[in-house]
Amino acid sequence: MSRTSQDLMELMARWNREFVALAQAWMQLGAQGFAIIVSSAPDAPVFAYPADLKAERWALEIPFPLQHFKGLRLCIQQIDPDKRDAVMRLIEACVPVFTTGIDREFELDTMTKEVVHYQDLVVALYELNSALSRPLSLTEMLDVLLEHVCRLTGAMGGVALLETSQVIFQTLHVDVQMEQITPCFQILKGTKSKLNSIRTDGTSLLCLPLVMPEHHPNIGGMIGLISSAPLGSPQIKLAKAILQQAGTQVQNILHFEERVYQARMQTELDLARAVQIRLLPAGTITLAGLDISGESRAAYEVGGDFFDYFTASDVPFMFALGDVSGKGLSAALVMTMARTAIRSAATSGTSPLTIMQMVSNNLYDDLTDLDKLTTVVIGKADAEQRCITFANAGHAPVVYAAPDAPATLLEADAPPLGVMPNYDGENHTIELSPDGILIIATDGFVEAENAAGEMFGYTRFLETIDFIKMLSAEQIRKTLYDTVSEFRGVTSPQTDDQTIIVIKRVSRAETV
Amino acid sequence: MDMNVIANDNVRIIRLSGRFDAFETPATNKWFETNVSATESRIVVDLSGVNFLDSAALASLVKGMKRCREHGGDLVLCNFQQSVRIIFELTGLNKAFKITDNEEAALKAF
Repeated sequence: MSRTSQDLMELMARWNREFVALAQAWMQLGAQGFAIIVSSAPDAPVFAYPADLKAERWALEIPFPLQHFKGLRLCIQQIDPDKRDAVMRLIEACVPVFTTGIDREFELDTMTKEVVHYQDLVVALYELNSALSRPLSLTEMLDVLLEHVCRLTGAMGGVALLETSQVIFQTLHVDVQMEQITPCFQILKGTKSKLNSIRTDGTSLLCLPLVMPEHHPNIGGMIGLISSAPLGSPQIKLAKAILQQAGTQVQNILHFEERVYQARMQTELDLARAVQIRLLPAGTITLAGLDISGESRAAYEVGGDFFDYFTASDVPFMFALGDVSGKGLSAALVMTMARTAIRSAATSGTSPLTIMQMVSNNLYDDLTDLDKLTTVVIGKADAEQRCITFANAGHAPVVYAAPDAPATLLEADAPPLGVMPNYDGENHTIELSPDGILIIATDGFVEAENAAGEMFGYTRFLETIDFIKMLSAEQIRKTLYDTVSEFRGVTSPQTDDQTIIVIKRVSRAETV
Repeated sequence: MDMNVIANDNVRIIRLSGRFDAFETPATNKWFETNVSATESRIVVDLSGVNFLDSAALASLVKGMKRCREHGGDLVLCNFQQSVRIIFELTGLNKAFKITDNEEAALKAF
């Protein structure tokens, strides 16, 4: 039974009592039967009195004109000829009253249904809005979206596809593979268009994109709605509006996930920084005859520079300083590896050259695999703490400054570790004159730039050392940091790690 | 930084100019990864137009040099400005690379 016929039957059933009263009135006037029929199906009256009335020849058959249901006729059986005029007058009086009443009731009924329908849409939209306002994962959000869009548009089911750093594919009440939908997605991605198609089983597929407020080539999504007949314009308009809101929601979720990820990474980096700081020795130490101060400042949370002291009471003072190429986490991991290799080799108590050769052999393969280099200076004081013997793998600047002579740069005699399979540098010994200083810094000092793009450079570095070399090791260290920082200016952030060791031979020996 | 590559018989000449630093090394590293092979392992890098290079640039050149040598070739540097020469001398890298005064000499260095 079509919906219209069903509506008519329901309507007639509601008017049954009135029709019965009318039929009984006619029966009193001599009629034998009364019926309302549809002309296309005269044998199946929509109302009959008595209920078991057989459709035979009607004595009277006139139109029963309803606005929304065509072809209805009012039929009366066997009328007393004497009362025919009275019956006709009654009919003329009653039919307009009945048809008008039925028409108005049907319209009211239709309007009520529409109000209920739109009320349901409003409730569904509210539920969708509430659901999307909750902190959902992308998968949960797509589930909610698909369910509500199908419900609101009357689609029998659908699919949702979202591409971010991962691809999420969801289905609801339909058996569709992602490969079947991907071509539509590729067409719609980045557009506001819609794509209609008829599937092999005769159902309609309407594909609509998720419209993102911020366009991003690697982020996109769509919904595919499957229905027995193509969706109408109001449903498409509604679905488009929902998908626009959903696109905003997807980006909000992505931003939220990004913030969570960044917060987690920041926590990890803070932890890594804490570990790295713990690996550095105390900043300033004073040994018999030597005043030593060192510091490392990473440009980011963690850095690739390192320095280390070895101050066991029964062996001469040793130190190491290095700079791993690159910055940030990858350099920091290699830095930890290099520091461990140096520390392990240094326990042998041999010369800096031997330690450097051992470290070079240990690190070469790993540095090659990682495309990293590391400059390293390893030094050792003699028993009297007057001379420093050191080996230098590609490190600069290394500066010696005697009180009575200009500061000079000491060139490395071998490239950084990781360049050549074998370290072929030499041990170099420098005798520190009283108040003479050896400074080993990383290129973060000399390559610091100001806002004009000008570098601090080696010349300024040497001039600054000459100007402050009468100070203590700690004061020299602090002044060099301050001077470079001042040169860079407040608008230029530190972009490279800065690490320094200042070793000064003190005229008056002190022991700690 | 500008990067121009010229094929010269079985040698590629890379002419670099400008500032060669960490912002530029992804491009040079990528070039070495993509182009250096058993049949293309002889490279001349002409640094005549480079007035500054940092540790990342040095690492990139070392990467190229090691990759060439792994494949039986070499990476030869030439045409240093004074500032670049100082950096190579200070870091001992002048001992790791073949360095010549000009491209002509570099092509004969293989």
